[in-house]
Amino acid sequence: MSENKDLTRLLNDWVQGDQAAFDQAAPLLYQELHRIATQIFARERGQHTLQATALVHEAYVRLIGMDVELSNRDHFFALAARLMRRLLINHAKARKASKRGGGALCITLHEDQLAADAGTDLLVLDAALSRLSEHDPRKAEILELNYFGGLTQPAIGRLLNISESTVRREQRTATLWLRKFMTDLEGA
Amino acid sequence: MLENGEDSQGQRRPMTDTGKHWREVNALLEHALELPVDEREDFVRRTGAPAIAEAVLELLAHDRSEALDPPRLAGEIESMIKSIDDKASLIGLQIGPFVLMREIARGGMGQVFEARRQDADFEQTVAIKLLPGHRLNEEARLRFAMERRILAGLKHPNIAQLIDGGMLDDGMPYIVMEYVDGMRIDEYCREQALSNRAIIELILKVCSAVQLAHRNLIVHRDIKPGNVLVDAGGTPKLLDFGIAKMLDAGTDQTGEQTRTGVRLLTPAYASPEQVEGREITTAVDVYALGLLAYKLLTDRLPYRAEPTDAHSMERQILGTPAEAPSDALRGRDSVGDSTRPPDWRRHQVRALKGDLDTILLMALRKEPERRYANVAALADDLQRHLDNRPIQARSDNLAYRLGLLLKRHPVAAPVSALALVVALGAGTAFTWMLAAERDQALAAEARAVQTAQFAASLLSSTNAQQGGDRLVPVTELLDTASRRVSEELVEQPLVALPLHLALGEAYMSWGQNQDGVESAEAALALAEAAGSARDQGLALGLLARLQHNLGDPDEALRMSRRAFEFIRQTDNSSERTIMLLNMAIALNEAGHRLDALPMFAEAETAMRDLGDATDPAELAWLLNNYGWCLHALGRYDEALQRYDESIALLDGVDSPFDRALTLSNRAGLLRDLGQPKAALKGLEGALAVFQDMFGEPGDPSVARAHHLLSVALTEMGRLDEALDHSNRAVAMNRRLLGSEHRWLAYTLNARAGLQLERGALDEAETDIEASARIIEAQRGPEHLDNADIDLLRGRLALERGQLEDAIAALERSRRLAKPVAEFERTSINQIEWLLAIALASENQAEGRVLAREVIDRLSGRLDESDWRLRIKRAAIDLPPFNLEPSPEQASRAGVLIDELSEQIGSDTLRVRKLSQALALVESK
Repeated sequence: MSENKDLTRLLNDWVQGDQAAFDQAAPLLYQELHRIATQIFARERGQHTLQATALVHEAYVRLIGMDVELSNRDHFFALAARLMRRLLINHAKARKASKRGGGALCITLHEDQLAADAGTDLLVLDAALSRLSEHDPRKAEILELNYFGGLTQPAIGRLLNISESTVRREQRTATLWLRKFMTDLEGA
Repeated sequence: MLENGEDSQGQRRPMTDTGKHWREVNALLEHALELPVDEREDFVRRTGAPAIAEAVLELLAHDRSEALDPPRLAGEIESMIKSIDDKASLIGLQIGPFVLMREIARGGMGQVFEARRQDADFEQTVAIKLLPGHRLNEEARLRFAMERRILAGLKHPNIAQLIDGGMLDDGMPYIVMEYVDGMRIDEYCREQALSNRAIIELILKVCSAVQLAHRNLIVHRDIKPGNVLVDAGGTPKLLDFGIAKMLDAGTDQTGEQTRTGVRLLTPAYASPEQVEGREITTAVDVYALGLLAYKLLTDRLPYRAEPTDAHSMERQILGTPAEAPSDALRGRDSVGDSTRPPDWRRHQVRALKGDLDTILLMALRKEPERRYANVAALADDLQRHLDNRPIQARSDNLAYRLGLLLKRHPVAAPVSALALVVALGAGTAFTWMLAAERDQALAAEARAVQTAQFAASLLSSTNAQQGGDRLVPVTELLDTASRRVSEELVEQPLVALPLHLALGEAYMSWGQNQDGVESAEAALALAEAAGSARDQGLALGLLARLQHNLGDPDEALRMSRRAFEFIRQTDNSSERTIMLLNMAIALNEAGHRLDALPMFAEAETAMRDLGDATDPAELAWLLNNYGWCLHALGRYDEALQRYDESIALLDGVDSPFDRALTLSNRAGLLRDLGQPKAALKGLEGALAVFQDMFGEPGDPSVARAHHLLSVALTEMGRLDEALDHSNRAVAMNRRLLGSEHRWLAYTLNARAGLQLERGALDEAETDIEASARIIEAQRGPEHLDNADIDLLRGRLALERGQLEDAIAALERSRRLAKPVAEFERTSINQIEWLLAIALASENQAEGRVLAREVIDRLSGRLDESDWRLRIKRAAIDLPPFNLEPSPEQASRAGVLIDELSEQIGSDTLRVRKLSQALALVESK
């Protein structure tokens, strides 16, 4: 519990502008996101839509509360998005490693012709984003914020200090690039 | 090597690394995305360097893909978050009287658990399916509950019984159903190495389950291998009955699920109407059962798309007729093949060919109303097959497909359906005869069936005689068919009549014109006896084309006119119009363009008079051919108008084949109008469409597009590219049509001309003589086609300095072409001949005078802007034909050279020749 308080304080400091607090907050926030994700489905199912976005918002409300300026909230979400991505990717990797063998009884797998295992797409997505950020970091960041943090285009614009229409345009081209990358990978 | 040259187009291209030029690619991509979809490609090609443009186009191709759409991604992320929680957390959850015991499956729709009832004295194991992402609103809950009650009433030994269903506190729907301890049907069939009979018996059981549901007005909507389990006792159980519908109906209408409803289904197993979001009927399940049987019997799906590529999969589901199972087995590898016995494929091909091909293709037709009327009918045919009784399905699917192909084929009039059947190697050949819809329209049902049965018996007996897969020579097949029609159908003239006609067409397209005449005359006699004006018209029209091929243009024309008289008499006005159009197309192709012209005009008027009742595709087809006729006659403006209208009409009806065809014709016209670059672009576009449609195996239309491109590139002096396309065209035609077909000869001619330009004289000679042999054999020595060959021989002899041979060949060519030369755009060749002859006989001055006469005559007829005419006009004013040109003549040539340099480049052959001639003048 005290850990949680620590995190809250650190985050508040960071959101208010203390960059040093960031380094300390990140690992704690990561743990917190993981804990919330676990809880949501295990005990409190029913009150939450289970989406990355929702999860990030949940974490925000629990840890910081509502009384923070808009631009600072954006910062929080940006951090949470990055952590969320890492969280999910780690988990996908772990799952892949322990993937059950054949023989499992399938009642109905509606995507049996598609990428068979949930999580594979995520790993591909992660690889694609990393690759994209090599030659166009901003686009990669836009997609990351949107996919994993649930940030809207206006919010992304505020955060990156670019116009909303630029976000829209960049998101569109980046998505095309991503699709192509993923399709190529799937087909290869 | 070259033989396989075109195969590369079907392979996956290596990944382009867009990263390397990302900045440029990105900038161009952003611009392109601002434009309307149909302008993007032009813009990109125009603006970007080739490598950049290519990368951008590849990216744009993903603009419609759904692969990474937010819904799918959200689902992915969501399911990951859920799985972060270890599975144990849901185990032990109580739902109604049940407790979740273990997870047994997890998929796009949700998780499935094995669950047990708690009561001490009552043990029951069930499967519970949780369906997250389908949260229901109030109204939807009511519908969901209603559906659930209906489904709970559905009791059948082959249906996994729905036991209960409801909503968890958070509104997440769940379904409780009978627990089936079994194996997916496809895995089961493979593991047990079931015989085809056993597989079909399994499917029949599934059919009976579906029939029961249909009687209760319940459509499954999602039948596929993953939804059919076979238990230890070998009983198949169909799962998830009506769930798809229940969710569709039961989901909040404002929710995402409605919009992406189709995505719920596995695209590979969706029917065309599901892909298009059209009305769902029991025909959906007929289709899916056909697909299931297809998969179990062949290990393949009837599409060539990668299952992961949802977009192209959908396109194929909508647009590409299912491949016959036996063809799919023969033509495509599957990962599962390695687990099968070595001769499994060969055995299956033989076992599926015939009945099973026919049955499955009927179930898999695109149009719901053309499939089996119901599951019972499908099951009945499968049972008939098992009992060795004749099946009911008529493979007019194939016929229908061929009918479409026929209608759409560019220069296809002389290629009969039969020839196509044989060329395509399709198994169920002869029943195509019903295809021609015109036959069907008039033929009484009984007679049609009779014809089909007879035709089928023809084929099967031929097969039996030949045994197995040996390729039967076409002519042998035709002779057998012809003999049997004559001998066995004496008592049934109305059955024999369409068969004779079809045989005549077939003989003609395989160059057996004399045999064709016999068939056509037999048909004519029967038609006369029956007093059918229509059939007499058809028979005479066929005779006309045969006589033309036999080199008797007068007789051909006489027959055409007689045919026309009969066609006028037929009383069905839309049918008359179609026949009139066919006649006009035939005449046009035979080179009787002035005769064709009024018929085109009459058909056009008739179609337009019908107003909305006219099929726009039909009108577009007419305009395309009419345009071509006018084009060939040098009436460019009128031709362009018709091509343009045709393309506009086709834009509205989604028939890429016709559209590409018209585009390539229009490109030919642009070439004549002196816009070679625009022409080239049109031809490349058409080629891309054809390649896209036919893929790796290719098609004569792909070969033709390569051919046209090679001609255009030759003209622009881009000889290496031209040679590449030319080689592809030759190889493809040879592979698809054999080495005796005249279309091969045409592509050989083009390559010979190209080799002449390249100075590769020996290669040119090889092609010329190969082509000459084909034309001589197929068309006879007096046919117009020989004029092209003699022209090539003359040019070759000229290049080699063999003047006497050159003169002889050129004179022969000129004589052969004379009858048409008066009116033809191609009579520009006449100038070529005259000038070549003049050069060869060292009588340049006389050549010039004669050539000028022709040019003046043509000027009245051809468009003034025809660039080849302008080149000729300039050429005869320069050496060696005019050793002392006037200043005006020289400056006119100079202007033309500048213009051409701009258009096609200064180092092209034509420009170089003119420039050399002009330089000679200036040096004096």
